[in-house]
Amino acid sequence: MLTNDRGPVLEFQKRTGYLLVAALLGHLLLISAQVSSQTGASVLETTMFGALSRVQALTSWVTQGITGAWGNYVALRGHRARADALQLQLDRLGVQLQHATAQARRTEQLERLLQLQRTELPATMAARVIAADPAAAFRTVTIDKGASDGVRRDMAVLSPLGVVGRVIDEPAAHAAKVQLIIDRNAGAGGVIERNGAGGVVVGASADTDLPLRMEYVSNLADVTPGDLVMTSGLDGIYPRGFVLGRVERAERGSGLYRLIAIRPSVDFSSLDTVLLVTGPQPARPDAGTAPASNAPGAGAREGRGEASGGASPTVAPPQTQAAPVGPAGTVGAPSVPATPAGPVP
Amino acid sequence: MTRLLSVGAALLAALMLQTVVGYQLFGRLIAMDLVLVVVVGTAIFFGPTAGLVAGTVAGLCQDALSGGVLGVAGLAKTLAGFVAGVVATQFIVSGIIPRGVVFFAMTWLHGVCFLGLYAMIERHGIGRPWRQILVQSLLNALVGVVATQAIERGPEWWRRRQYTRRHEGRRRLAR
Repeated sequence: MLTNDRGPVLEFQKRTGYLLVAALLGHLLLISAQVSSQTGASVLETTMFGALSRVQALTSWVTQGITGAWGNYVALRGHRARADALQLQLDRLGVQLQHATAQARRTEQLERLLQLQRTELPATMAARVIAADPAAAFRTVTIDKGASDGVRRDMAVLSPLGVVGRVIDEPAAHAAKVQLIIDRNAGAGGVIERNGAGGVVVGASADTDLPLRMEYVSNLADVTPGDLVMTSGLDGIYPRGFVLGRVERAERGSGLYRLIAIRPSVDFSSLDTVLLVTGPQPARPDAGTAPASNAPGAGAREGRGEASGGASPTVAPPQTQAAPVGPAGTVGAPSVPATPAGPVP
Repeated sequence: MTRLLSVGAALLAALMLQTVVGYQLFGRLIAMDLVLVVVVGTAIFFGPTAGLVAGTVAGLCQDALSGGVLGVAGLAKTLAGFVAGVVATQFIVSGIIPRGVVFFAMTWLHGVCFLGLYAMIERHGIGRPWRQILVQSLLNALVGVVATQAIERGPEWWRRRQYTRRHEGRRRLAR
């Protein structure tokens, strides 16, 4: 009788054990399939991401509706004073704009005179950030534009303040994953705006206060706190001349390279609308630079670590100081960033 | 079927709260893992099988939405759900403190499993954010205890409240 009573219980426990083993084996197989895969995201992941991102978009729409209603109808106290202040600011900016336009005209004439090469403003497409990463270990966000809108893997993502990141994995029809530049697996070619010292800007680990650092900058290079770091365009992902951040700490390293910590220009906690670079992508460096796969640190900068072997800005550390972005007026190199990168904090 | 639907709805709600609502309202201030809280809660209420199934589904969804390798959070959450279910069937965890300990311990188990797998997969791993895991486990324990107590005692409290109101209404009418 006792065995009859306990029988089903034991059977149930055995089944749970089998189920646990099956689930764990399934997960391990799934992980190993991705680790050895060279083609990128799996079909299962793409499908799940596509389906869940629609729910995220719907939730985002509802949340934004509620916060919008609150902001537009309830929290409008004191808006009159703010509007007056903004009008005053607008008037001042109008005067500044006239001055800047005149200066731009003069610069254009000088550029024509010196026959400087002009770089084009890349074509962009706006997208809205609908969700953040559920696991805080990764720094990714989901945007509401996907493959049907023309979004492709490795597209650079910018904001008016500077570089945000790039599209990773195959996008779903109406959503895509963006790896933020502060992710520990992200990387971009960078230059110090003041003197053109080149290096690789990478995301720092989650436990540091400054989420970006610059590697492969020689100990001999002159880098001081407050220097502006821009994209170099050498990674083949990010267009040249966009702001990455400002140097916060620059110390002499024990080896050949300096230890540089950067404060990013973009506030990643309040991203709302971003711009995807849809226009001509910067050309990948081929001849003349060290092969990216041989470069120290290059392999570690991939979208999913070195597991996927996937597409990521494989940036070769510069052998010497990068030349192109130099101080204003330098003949033979564009003296200004390729595009206005917005206000610099 | 009702249980399945309610667990599914709770998981989806936790995922959306974590990824969309939390981000849009507070930026990155939410340091807890609400999805793990639901998985452990499911395991406490319905046992190890439900815990491991909920952990598998929730973890895979979380992996698909994040930038990580698909299956890592799935495996960590499957283990956490299963172990929480076994603990809940072997020990009495209806009190506030034992339940808090289960949520706290499962967050650590999940964290160690997650970080360990990434240390094996990636060259550099994620690092050792132990302080973040400590904060997350404390928050998870707090939210988990409050939520499970509310689910268990909420309906009874509501019935009592309704009964008291009706009773008072009758008294007033009688006067």
